[in-house]
Amino acid sequence: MILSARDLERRYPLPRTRLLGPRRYREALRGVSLDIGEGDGGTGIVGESGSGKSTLVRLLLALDRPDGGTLSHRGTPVVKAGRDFRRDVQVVLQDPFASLDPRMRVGDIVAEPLECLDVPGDHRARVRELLAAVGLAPGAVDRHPHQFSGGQRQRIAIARALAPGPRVLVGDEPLSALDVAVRVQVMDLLRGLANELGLSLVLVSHDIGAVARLCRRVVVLHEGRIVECGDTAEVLGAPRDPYTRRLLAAVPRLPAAGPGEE
Amino acid sequence: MSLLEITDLTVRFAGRTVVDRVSLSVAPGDRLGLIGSSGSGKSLTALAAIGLAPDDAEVSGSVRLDGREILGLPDRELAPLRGARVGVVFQEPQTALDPLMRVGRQVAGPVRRRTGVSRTTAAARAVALLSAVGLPEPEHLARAYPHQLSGGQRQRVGIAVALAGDPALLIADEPTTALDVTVQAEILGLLDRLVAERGTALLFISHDLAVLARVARRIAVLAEGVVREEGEVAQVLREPADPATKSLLAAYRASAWEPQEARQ
Repeated sequence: MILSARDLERRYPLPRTRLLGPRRYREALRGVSLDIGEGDGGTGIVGESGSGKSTLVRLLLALDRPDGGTLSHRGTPVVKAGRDFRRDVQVVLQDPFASLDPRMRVGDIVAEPLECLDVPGDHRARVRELLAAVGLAPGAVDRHPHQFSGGQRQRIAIARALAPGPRVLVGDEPLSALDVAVRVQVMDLLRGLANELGLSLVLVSHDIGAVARLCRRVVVLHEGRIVECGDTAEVLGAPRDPYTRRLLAAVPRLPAAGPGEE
Repeated sequence: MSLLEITDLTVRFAGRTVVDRVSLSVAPGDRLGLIGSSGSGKSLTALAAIGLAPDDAEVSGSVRLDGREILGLPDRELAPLRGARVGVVFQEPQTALDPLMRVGRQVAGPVRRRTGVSRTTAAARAVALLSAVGLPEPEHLARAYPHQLSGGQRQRVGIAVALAGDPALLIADEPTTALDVTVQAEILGLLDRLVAERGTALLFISHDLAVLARVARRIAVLAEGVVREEGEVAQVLREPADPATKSLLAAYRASAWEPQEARQ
């Protein structure tokens, strides 16, 4: 296993209601276990606000420490994420307008993880290769993020995440800030890259359509617990948990548009 | 007669045309959905029509509300129409509400302005409205500040504020985009029920075809500031004529999840 989470727990202190009253907590994550294996076909983590999915992402990326349970990286418990961890596990965030430094050139943005993580090799050649892989012209290296559309910026963010050659790519709602048509293109790009590079994609999303297309396995989070987990087609086709059913029933759909149907 | 009649509405920013000779009409009780990708001019069309375009926008054309030309009216003449004839629900319930005012007062404000009733009566009607939008314990909730509510609750308050002046037209600008899917389903159901009960006309703006189809009867497809296609929702979905509509449908099919397909 590249990543192995066991019984992760995370709680956040609530503001005190009384000066001398007892400290109270919100249990954001209550015992979540999850394995991410090499080339496992993708894991979708589905849940709504307050489900704990953002907390789980932070823990899986070792950006935060659990209050209980452990995260192991290739068999070793992660105390503080080092270079090996960061080279292996990378992230693409939701907002391509906020996640790229506006003062940096695209070439430097994509090269940054190569430098920070001391990745050996010719960095400039690697940047060119990455930009090509995400479908951007080589001329992009000298330009700044504001010269690109939202979809193109997300491609830049993907190129940066792929720079150190990670085996796990975590996407924290990477499609939800994009327009529908662009969303389809970035979805296709992620699917192509995951297949080609044998990446294990961890897609955190409320977008069931994206998870259905990109992930072999789905995990449904609700109130800090995994309420259902399994093969994506099976879970979506025949949800067992009442919350999963409620969630799927709420997904807006077009009415069947066949002739004679209304 | 149309309630809202937009003719050749054009909006320019610094010489760039963002809304290009848009003509649309909404009859009393009608439900029109405006769809388009971001930058298509859908929100600006609706906001410019009620004088809410940014100050640096050049707006031309004609907008008639109840037969009366309202484009170019000064704010002091438009203000009484907003709330009383037209209510607006915005995308971000967080920013649309006043963070320093208890939600009950935010709903009571337009009630008083519209009807001139006493403070106490307005407060009671505000509670009734908060209850009508499905908020639990409305008396208690009326005393809360917006930050004490969840996103879905805030949007319910936003709807209560928009409906407080009992408008003939409700403009909803992506009202569920910021919400979770289960909350979105509740809010769409609520809007659907409220406009039906009150006979309010609805101008619903969305980038999401499925969301729009849930509440609108007619649809107008915008691309690059131009209305490319308009018609009954079912008809347009069945036989899309314009490439812009076809590409929206194609994107929907390529990204949405359909349970039938999952079961097969």
